[in-house]
Amino acid sequence: MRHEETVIWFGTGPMSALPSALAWPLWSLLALLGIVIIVYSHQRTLVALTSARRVILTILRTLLWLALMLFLAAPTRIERTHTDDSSKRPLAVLVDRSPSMGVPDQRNKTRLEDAAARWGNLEKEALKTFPKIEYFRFSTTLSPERSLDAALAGESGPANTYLYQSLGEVLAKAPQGGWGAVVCLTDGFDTQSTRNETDFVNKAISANSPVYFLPAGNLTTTRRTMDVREIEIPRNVVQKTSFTWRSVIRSFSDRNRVVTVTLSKKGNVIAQEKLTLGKGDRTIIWSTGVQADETGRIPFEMTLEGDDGTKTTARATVLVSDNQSVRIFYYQGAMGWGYRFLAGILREDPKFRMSSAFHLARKTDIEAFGSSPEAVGTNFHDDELEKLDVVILDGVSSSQLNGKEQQALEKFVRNGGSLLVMATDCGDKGGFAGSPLEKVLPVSFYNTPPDPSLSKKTTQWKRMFSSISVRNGQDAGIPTERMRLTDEFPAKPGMASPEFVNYQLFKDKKPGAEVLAVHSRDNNPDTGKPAILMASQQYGSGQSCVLATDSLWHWKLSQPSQSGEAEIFWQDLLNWLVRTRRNAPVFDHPPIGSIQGLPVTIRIRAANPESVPSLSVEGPDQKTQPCELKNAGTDGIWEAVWTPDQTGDWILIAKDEKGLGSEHLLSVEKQSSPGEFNPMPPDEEKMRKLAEMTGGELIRNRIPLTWSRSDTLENEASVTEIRKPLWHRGWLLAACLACYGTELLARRRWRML
Amino acid sequence: MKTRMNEHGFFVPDTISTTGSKGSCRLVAALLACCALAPALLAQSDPILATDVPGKNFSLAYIKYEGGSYHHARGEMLAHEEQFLPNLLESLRNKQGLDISDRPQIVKLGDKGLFDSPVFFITGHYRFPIGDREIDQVREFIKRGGFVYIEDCGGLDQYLKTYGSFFEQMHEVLQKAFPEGRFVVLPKDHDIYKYPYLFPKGLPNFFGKDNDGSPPDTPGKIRKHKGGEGFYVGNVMVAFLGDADTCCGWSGRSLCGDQPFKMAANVIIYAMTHGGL
Repeated sequence: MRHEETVIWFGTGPMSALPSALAWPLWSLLALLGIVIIVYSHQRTLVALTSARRVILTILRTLLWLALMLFLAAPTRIERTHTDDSSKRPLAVLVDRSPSMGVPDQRNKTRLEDAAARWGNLEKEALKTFPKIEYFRFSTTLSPERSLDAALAGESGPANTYLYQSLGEVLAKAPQGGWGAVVCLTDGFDTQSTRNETDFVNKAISANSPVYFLPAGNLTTTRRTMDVREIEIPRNVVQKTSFTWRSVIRSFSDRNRVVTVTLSKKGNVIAQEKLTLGKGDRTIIWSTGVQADETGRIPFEMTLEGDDGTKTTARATVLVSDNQSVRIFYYQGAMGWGYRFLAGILREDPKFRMSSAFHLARKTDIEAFGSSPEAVGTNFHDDELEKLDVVILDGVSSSQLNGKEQQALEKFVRNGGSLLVMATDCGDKGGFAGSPLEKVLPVSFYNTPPDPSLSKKTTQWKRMFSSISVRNGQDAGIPTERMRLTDEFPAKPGMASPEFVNYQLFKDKKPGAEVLAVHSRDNNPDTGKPAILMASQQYGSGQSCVLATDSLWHWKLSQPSQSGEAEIFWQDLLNWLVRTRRNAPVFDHPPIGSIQGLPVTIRIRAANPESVPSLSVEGPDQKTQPCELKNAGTDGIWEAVWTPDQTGDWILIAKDEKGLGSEHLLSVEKQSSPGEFNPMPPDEEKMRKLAEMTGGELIRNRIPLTWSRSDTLENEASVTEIRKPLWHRGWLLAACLACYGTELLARRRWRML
Repeated sequence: MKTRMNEHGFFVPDTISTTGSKGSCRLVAALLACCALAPALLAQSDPILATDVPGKNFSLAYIKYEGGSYHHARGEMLAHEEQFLPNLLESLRNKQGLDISDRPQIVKLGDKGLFDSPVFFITGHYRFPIGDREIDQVREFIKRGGFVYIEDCGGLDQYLKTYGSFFEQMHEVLQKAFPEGRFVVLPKDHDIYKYPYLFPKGLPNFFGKDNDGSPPDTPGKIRKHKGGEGFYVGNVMVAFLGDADTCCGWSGRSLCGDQPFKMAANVIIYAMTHGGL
């Protein structure tokens, strides 16, 4: 306990809020001004006074003024009582001096330097909370050090890290009441048994000493690495279609290197590319188109081979089927010839089964001509849409579909269906602008054309021109243009671009949508980009696609019957739209690799919320075992935790009640040796969990919030402050009154009042 | 517009009775084309906001040929071109709401322009010269998905005996184009008689009613009405052949009212709503 007394000015009163640098000059000025006014006013009294009387009155008034100014200055005595600092618990800081902390990365910086620099910034803050810091260094043995610099100095220890054992030793040395905190500067590797993890946690709890980890912030690995982080492919595709193999590759190297990416199908190389990867940490996406020619479970292998000898492999499988029919419903909102020509095209491939309905323009009656037993009416609702794979809306405006129908279509797409909208060629209609269905579609629509006068003018001359040109049969020809297909279009080599006559101007594509075809000449006046003629986007589990024209039948009619251009285009487009089969559960971001004996979490997205999928795993020994799935609490998401018990390729099979399903290949390897030079970055998540089990946390670039709070609480508890105003005295008030009374009496006597 | 009755008793516009007036029409058309081309060139770089121009719009091709009825009943055939078909197109636009051009596209069977329209219409009384090239063109048109609409316009016995029947010739042309094809007399409950207008008794016989109001199968006519026929290639009806003289009912003064227009609408809408080859 320590007492301390100090006297301060302006401790209370109106000027106490001001800083002393401002309070004193202000106070002095005020006092001086008062004295000047007193002297000046007593020099020019209304009644003639002798010099002696004038001096007496001036002195009395000045004394009174100075007394008042003393009250304003408010001298205050502060009595502080401090508790003894020795009651606080010290902080222990452990520095990992194992060799892995001293290996430089491509920037020539070590993990030790990184951790030391970050702790150096926090040390001063820590000292406000803890009375003292005790330092230790460790690798295989623990030794105390005088300071941080001493702990950082010298050579690294032997090529092993006994992290948890060292922490246990420090905790065993805890003073009475435990350490205020234990901070460990480490990369988290421990080359001993993981049993020590639980030992040190128990010791920390027993010692009432929370442990904090400061991970060596060297996110880059210490050696050259390369691995495939993710493979995105459809798990089920239809034969004779193409799909995109998309993989995420992460690479670390201290120099530039050339990596050869090879994709093989059933052992045959189908794509190969050399990538130049810069030094440092790089994450790139590599994709290529793949043809699904043959049916069955098709194995793919992707190999990455660097020019420095690094090599890694990832595998995946795709189920290719041919017996799945594509069920299409064609709804024509305004009578046109699109259906006739598309139906003729699709008739050539029995896989396509198309039913239809037509809306007679300017009439309200709707006639259904569907000859297929699966034909549905135009009252779109869930049960009927469930039987379909693709819905084509040709020349349909949003006013022809009521809210419920649009919601049913939205749900249809969200659950895996495909929607193809062939826009009305009528420029003065808003299409689907502002409708519930617009959010499903990959483009936004104009409510009104951007320049109606332009539209009208263009329409007039075109109508006039066309009405004349059609009279001349000899060399007549309706002017058509070819679309410009973009790289996003799933075109087969040699596929021709469709020809069209008219198109509807879309406002813009939506974020995430892919533009498949654009106009070769016309630009959108608002965006300045080429006018969009075809676009698609993933929506939920399904896909939507818009076509800015429904006049593609002109193309079919203008092509020789042997050309097959239009046939290839339409069949490929529809196959592509249904390439990911609906109604089948799919894996949700499945891992592509795992470690033998470690649990793997597998998530499955059911085709719809009502569906209950099942999961089974087929091991490298061809034996299949079921896995228990639990509802993850999110609509349609199911989860299973499974531990592979042998190395090799495992096939995960997800199915629903109808037997529709998808597969995923998981490569299981032996647990990698936790050697000292493990190239993996620090496992911060593990460190965080362990720290939290002891009451501590992970320290990054600021001290823990609990330290700041405890610092404040400690101060409040250790310091007692009492403020006593010194001017608040009775005699001082009496003296003031005496001065003032004397002055009044004198003025009365000298006939000034 | 002045009209006059031609040698076959049809009312035709006075201005189309001579080749001179036809030439004038072409001159006017050319001038209009020039006028139209100027703004077209100016507007070429503007974005086209599609409306009811060709594409969404479509036209009906009308087959014109040399000889046959164009020799023996020229006025009537020109009336089809200039009056009857525009009447039909107007009816399809206004009553059926079809987005169709207001003028037929007049082409010959060998023209490239044949492939600008998804359906072509041909009528006549008597045989006309037709070569293999034209037959191949018909085959190609159908194979590309097009639809053929054929109407028999009857004819006078003396000419039919001398020159032969147009309708029979069309049967031969189609059969030659598609040897595997077959003609089927369409049953009364066929779709073509149901949508959008119901013809419970099948194809009505309009024959002769346009001219003198005489009942069907008037004595003196060379053949009997047997109803509409479909020409099928596989399961696809690629052509409709009517022997009811429907096209003459499009003159606008038919005693059959709007029945001929409705039957034609059924044919066109059938073609639109059923897949082609």
